[in-house]
Amino acid sequence: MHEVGVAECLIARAVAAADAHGLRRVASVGVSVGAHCGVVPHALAFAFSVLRDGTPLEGARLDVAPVPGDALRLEWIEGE
Amino acid sequence: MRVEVLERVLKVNDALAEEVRAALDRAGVVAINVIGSPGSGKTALLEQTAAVLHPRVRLGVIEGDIATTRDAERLVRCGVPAVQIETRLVGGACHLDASLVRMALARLRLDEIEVLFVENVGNLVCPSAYDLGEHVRVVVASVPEGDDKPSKYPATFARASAVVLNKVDLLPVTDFSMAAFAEGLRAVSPAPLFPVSARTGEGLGGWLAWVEAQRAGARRAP
Repeated sequence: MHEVGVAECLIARAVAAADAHGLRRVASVGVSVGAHCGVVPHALAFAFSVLRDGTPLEGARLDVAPVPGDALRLEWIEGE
Repeated sequence: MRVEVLERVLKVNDALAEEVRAALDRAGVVAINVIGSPGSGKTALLEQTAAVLHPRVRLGVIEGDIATTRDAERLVRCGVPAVQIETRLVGGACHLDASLVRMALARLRLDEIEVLFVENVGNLVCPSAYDLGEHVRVVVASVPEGDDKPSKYPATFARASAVVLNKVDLLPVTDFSMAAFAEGLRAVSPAPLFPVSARTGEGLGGWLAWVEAQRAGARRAP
């Protein structure tokens, strides 16, 4: 699919959440990816690994939880 | 420290889609997102729909393609207000999203439209994930694609409010099984199925009646 576009949205949501909670750096991000949402987890992880550079998510680990259905959700972020 | 976020990744698109839907509701316009493979006959179906219904039912069209303005030009030749989104100009996306539809809406006179078709980029996969602000979705499948598409693309077919099976005039030269297609569709969706030929006009009556029923159901601003 178009995991680069999805990764961009994901990083934007994670940065927004970090700002809202006063986190300067994000060390890991938890995403749930539905089996039918059209996003391929390893392609998302690859896009994420490229696009996170230069953002508060630089070096962050992406934790993908496969779920049934078509959800595509940012569940949590961890940082300080 | 862990922060629970619990958001849809495509939240920004969702918010824009709600804005689009609110603008359409204020104008009393019902919007139909038309999804289907490249070449399934989405534009041809809209041309036939316009030939019969417009302007008694005032139609408008937003066309989505990666490149060319051909499809919008075809609808304009039918006398329907139509604008083209070329995604190649904004990154080459394989699907429309709410931000593109919002921009296209600004180029239409919504007060002159009752039913707005948004013809998505030809693609049975990606459009499914993107709310455009539409009220209903229609999937256009076609006989040459084979009778297994509802089973192979369940997420797309499950979200259809109606399914059009186009090119039924080609049934005699294919191995397409209507029964298999209908069964595969029923397994993922209760949506009505309209077998048609946009080329010969066969079966269009049921589809046109469904379109008119959508207009009747539209909420109108007081």
